[in-house]
Parts: sequence; C-alpha cells; structure tokens
Amino acid sequence: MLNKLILEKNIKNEGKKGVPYATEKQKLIERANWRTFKPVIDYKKCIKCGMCWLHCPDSAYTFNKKGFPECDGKVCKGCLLCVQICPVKAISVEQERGKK
Amino acid sequence: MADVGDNPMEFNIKEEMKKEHLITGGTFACSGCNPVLGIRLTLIALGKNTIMINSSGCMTLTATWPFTPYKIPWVHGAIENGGSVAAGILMGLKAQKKDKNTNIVVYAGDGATYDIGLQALSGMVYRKEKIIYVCYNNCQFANTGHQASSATEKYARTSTTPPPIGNPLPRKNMAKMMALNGADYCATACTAFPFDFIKKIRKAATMKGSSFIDLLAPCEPGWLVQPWETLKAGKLMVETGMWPLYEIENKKITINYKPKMLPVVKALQMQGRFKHLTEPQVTEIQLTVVKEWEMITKGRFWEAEEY
Repeated sequence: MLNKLILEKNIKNEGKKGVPYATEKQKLIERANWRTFKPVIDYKKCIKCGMCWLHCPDSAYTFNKKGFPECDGKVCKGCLLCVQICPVKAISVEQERGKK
Repeated sequence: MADVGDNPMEFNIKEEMKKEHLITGGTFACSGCNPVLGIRLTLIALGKNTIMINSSGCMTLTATWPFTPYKIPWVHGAIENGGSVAAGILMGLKAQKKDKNTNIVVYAGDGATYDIGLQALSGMVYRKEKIIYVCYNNCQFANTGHQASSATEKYARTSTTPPPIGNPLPRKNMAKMMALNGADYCATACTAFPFDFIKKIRKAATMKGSSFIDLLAPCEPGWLVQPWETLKAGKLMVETGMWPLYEIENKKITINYKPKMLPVVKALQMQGRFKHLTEPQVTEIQLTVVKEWEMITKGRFWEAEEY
C-alpha cells in the first residue's frame, strides 16, 4: 500500500546511500488552509534586517533579487510572529477568512 | 568545523540570509511553534554537515513518512534513548573516519530529557562523547496532551495537575546536573534570544566532549498563549529572571544576559497556565526567583543546601 502511495504521489528519494533527502523538486505540503491572518510587507518601510527570516518557525521567508523578504503563502501558517518582531513595523496584518 | 566560516563564533546575518533553508515549511507543527524555530536556529548555526537525532516528541511529527522537511540526515530514536542512538552513530562515523567534520545533534523534548531519557543522556555525558544535546524545553509533555513533567514550573497548570493547586513541585536544574556529571559545556538558552542561542550552539560544536543546551521554547497550546505571543512569553520569562541565561564551562558559570528583573507577575499574567494563581503563590515564586539570582550572582551556585 505504501509503495502504491509513492508511485501515485511520484516521490523520489534523491539521497545518497539510502539517507532520505528533501529536494527542491519535491513539492511542499500546503498549510495555507490553517491560516486566518496573513502578513503583508510594506517594502517602503523595510530595512532588509532579516529578523522576520530569522524568527519564522515555518521557513516561509525567502529573499528576492533586490534583497527584500518575501512571504511564501503556501507554507505560512499565519502565526504573526514576524509582525511582532519587525523593528520598523513594516509588516501589517490582513484577515483572510472569517470575515463578516 | 565545517560550514561555519573563518570565525565560528561570529554570526553574520547578511551571509546566512543567502543560504537555503535546511528545514522547509509545511510541517505538522502548530502555528507559532517555538521548538521548530529551535531546529531552524540549530541548523542555521551548524550548517549542512549535521546529523540530527530526534527522541519521540512533538518534533517527530515534522517528518511523517513519506514526507520530510529536512535537507540533512535525520534519525528518529525511541523516547528513552536519544543519547545512546547518537553515541552509536558517532561510533559508526569514527570507524569510517568521517567524524571530524560532522556535527551530531540530539534534539529532544523536556520529557525525553528530564524524565524518560535521563539515563541515556547521563551515560552519553559520562563517556564524554562528542555530541551536542539540545533539549527543547516547553515545560510539559506537549505531544501526548500537556501532562506535567519534571521541567514544569511550580503551580503551573497542566492536564495532570489541574487548578486550584497546580504542579506542587519545582523543576529540576538540568544544566547544573549535567555540568556536575562531567559535560564539557552546559548552557541555558531561549528562542526569544536567537543570537545568544546560535553563539552557544557554535561554541558547543568546538568542544571536545559532550555539551548540553537547555532551550526554553514556549508552546502555544500548552502555555495557553496566542500564537503571536510565544516569543514575548519567552522573553518575559528571561526578563523577570525566571529563566536565567548562563553557560557553564569547567564549573565556571558565566551570565550571558543580565535581565531587567521585572516583577514575575508580568510573565505569569500573560500565560493562561498561571491564571489561577493567588497572591501568596505569586509572592512565593518571586521570592524563589530573587533567591536563585542571589545564589548565581554571589558565586554560591554550586551550594546545594538552599535548594
């Protein structure tokens, strides 16, 4: 049954000598449906300090070519720790679901 | 030391930002989970040449077959033998002569460290294996439903110690215990102070023997705080003096962060697990905190009778 699951989901073990290994090709499991609030970055205020990147538990932050942080909407669980930690308050909150 | 740069103690955030994530998102951890943040900080500090051993706990659920968020080798041992599994892996690497550039990290919860896995940890420290043992301490058995462990604070509410009494016993002093046991480097850390934690991990990696780091990682459903308040809760635990940040090397204690010594009420009010506390109980906690700090700062840390 497990082998069938591997075939269906097309998971490849690309590790060396039997060590399981996650690669870029393997798709991330989406956690967007866990989220009620969503962080939105104001790039005019951002000072590229990287504190949001350092404190994010879900590795949602990556940096674009200009060096500004970008939040990955697929894996962000909406914990809003980045909003709390931002030293210049450049990240604001947007409600995604549960709107009246 | 591999993958750490010229000066391993220095942490250059601009350089680290360019590297890829060694643990990806999409795990089963709660939103605002600090133990996962602890894994991230550990992997940022040590780099790609790391083997992580996990004792059963919340962080086992990060890698559920057939998916894994890790880009490093990751082993799941049973809850009671994190230290022994790590020692076995180190022996295997020594036999292949590959142990010099590899960091071996055990990442276990406080239940697996303070209570169930204490004998394996104690054996590992006694044999002076070159292993970094990181205990992510959320002050309870969070994975099985927030039962009390011996890392739980006095009067805290857990599912086995409900209010109005709460947990009747104070917590163990694990870093002190391991230092007396013969560990080369012992430290306490908190996820709200990430630079301090990364520095300690890198220092532990340069040691010849075993090292133990007790990492306070606030747990959102266990401490009954909001997801965005977890870091603040950890920070207040340090600022009030309830969780002192120190390191022990050759039985010499160094205080890494001097807290503002705010009244403990500020930390207790925030956490839902302390909501049932009465005034005399709060005063008692405040007095023990003041006493503990006097012991540390006046060089009487190793005296036993006052504990």
